[in-house]
Amino acid sequence: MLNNLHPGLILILFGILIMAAPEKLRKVLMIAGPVLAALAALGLDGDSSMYIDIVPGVTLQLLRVDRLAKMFMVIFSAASVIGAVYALNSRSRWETGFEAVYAGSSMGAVLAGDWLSLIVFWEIMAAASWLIIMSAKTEKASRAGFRYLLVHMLGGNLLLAGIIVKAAGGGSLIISCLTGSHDAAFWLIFLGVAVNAAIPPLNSWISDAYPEAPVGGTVYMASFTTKVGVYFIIRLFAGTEFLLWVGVFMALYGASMALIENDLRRLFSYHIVSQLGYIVAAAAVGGALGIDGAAAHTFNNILYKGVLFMCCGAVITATGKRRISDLSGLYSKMPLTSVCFLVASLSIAGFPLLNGFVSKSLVMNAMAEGGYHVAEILLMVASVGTLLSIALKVNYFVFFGKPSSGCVNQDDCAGVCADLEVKPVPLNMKIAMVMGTAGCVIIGLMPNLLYGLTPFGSDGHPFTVDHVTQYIELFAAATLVFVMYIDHMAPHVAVTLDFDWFYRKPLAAAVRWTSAAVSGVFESCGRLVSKLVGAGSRYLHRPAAALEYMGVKVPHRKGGIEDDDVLMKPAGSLVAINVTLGFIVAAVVLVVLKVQGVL
Amino acid sequence: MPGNKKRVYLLLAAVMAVMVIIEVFFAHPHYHMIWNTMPGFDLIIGFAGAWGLVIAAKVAMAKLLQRKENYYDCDPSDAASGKDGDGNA
Repeated sequence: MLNNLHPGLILILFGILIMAAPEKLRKVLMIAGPVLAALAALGLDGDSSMYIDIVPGVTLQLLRVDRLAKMFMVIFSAASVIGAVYALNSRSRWETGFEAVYAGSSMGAVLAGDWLSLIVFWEIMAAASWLIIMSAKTEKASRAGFRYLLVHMLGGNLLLAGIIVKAAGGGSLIISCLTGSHDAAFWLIFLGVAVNAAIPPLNSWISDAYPEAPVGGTVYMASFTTKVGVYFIIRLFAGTEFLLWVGVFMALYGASMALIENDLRRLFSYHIVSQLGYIVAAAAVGGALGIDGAAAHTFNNILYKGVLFMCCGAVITATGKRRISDLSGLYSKMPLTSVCFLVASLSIAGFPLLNGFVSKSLVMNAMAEGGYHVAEILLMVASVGTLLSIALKVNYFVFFGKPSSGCVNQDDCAGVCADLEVKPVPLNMKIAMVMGTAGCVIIGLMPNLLYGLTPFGSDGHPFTVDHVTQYIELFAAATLVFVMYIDHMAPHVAVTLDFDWFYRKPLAAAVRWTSAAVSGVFESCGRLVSKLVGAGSRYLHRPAAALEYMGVKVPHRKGGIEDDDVLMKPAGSLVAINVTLGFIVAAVVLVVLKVQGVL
Repeated sequence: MPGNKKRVYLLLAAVMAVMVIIEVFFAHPHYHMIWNTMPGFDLIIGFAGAWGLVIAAKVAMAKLLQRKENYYDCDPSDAASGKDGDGNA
């Protein structure tokens, strides 16, 4: 019985309750929901099942659990508990409620056994995450949220179209691996999933929307949407070879963009893309090692990425600043946040004894075993890029570097960095950051806890001498380059163009021009019609004018019937009314005759 | 700060030397590509990769892709309504 509780539905229910509850009860529900969902998730096993008959002959399978789904449920549960603790100080009922609904729908998508259940949870997830962005209640969030919604509706519709094509072709509604079937359904479903998995050119919604969401909301969003995307890359497309190069490109592209980014949350958004690259590449290699590497790296990614976004949220809450160029030397004022950030940033780079290292070992072993040596080297370079752009750049310029007497960009913030007012970080945020950081360290020290959860139980053998020395050598050489170019590593106040440029500039201009052209045509038509009506009404008002226009002389009589009040109406109108009345009378007569059987 | 830089260079050189020595004497690579078997080869990958990324990002990508911060905010609808990028009148 206890293995048949649906954690996703529990969280969605609690999300609705959170929106309705008064503030004190809301805080209890915010914690109780994720904890109960986590207990339900831990109780799931291969025998768990839940079916709903929606119409005769169509049954939804809401629960299907295998080792891959169970692993994702464990980390999703942990992320929703940590996220709830972090967001506990939020006073917005809508934000916190939508966060629970969003986490619940993500769990629902992972646990869905059939395509119809999947698309329902997929769309709830998109709508709830959009509402989280909108709950920031700023003009920028509203615009970014609109673009986010457009992209995700496109993704949802592509997925739905793929499902319809599959069903129309007589395919089963049970979710199954699509690798090897390069038909229309494959490509439509792939594109739908690619939106959530942030595969370029469908990646820029992350760096566009995540920085505009509330700080607690960003922590949630970094944990779920893209991870559901890669879950379905693993489940549906494992072993699809072209994805290997897509993944490698993502890893390098994300790290390079992060190197020049100035906005902290945009920088971390690019690292989401970069880390997803490792996962997509490992899934593309397939086999036990590739699938385990992809799943394990997703698990770890949720932990360290969550800590990075939480630390960033703490910095924004404490200082009100979000740009690296506006911050410096925060270690002395925010030591706990700085240490948590340092650990998480070394984890994401893959530093030994931290969790990123143990899952990267699996990914790199998968590359080596599969014979993909070029990809292996390029992923090593991407690790170096991650170290440069987060572990060195952010730690140096934001936390551990000397506080600057003025900002890097003097014009921009008038040298307030050294005297930056730092408000205290709420206790719940600190607890959540420590929880996430502890997860990174525990898994880093005891990797078997993670390997035991993977679908095939592969061992990455991370602590061999060659593995450890390899990463320390890579990072020492990269640090050397960072120190050499340290004067050029500070970011500038600028916006970095990404693939969203295409729909924010040319497409937006095309839409504006098209709508201007269409409304221009409508306005011209309207003007023409009103001119014609105006000209016509002149003759309707005074039919004699038409005769005058044709050269017939019409005598103007005074007195007579035209002086009668009733007949002072324009003659044309009287004719029109009479004709209408005549039609009505004729119709009534015809109906009566028909009823009487005369006709 | 040249003094600090020098200390960091010395520290990095020491770390690199220790790692190479450990690799020479204690590593038993499981795979047999040159970066697995040749001690210190990862230093070359790390240095070349980091240098390439820094040059690509800071020189090429920054020039090609970076614009003024209000680049997206200057759309005609805002100009017409007299709003700035945050939608403030």
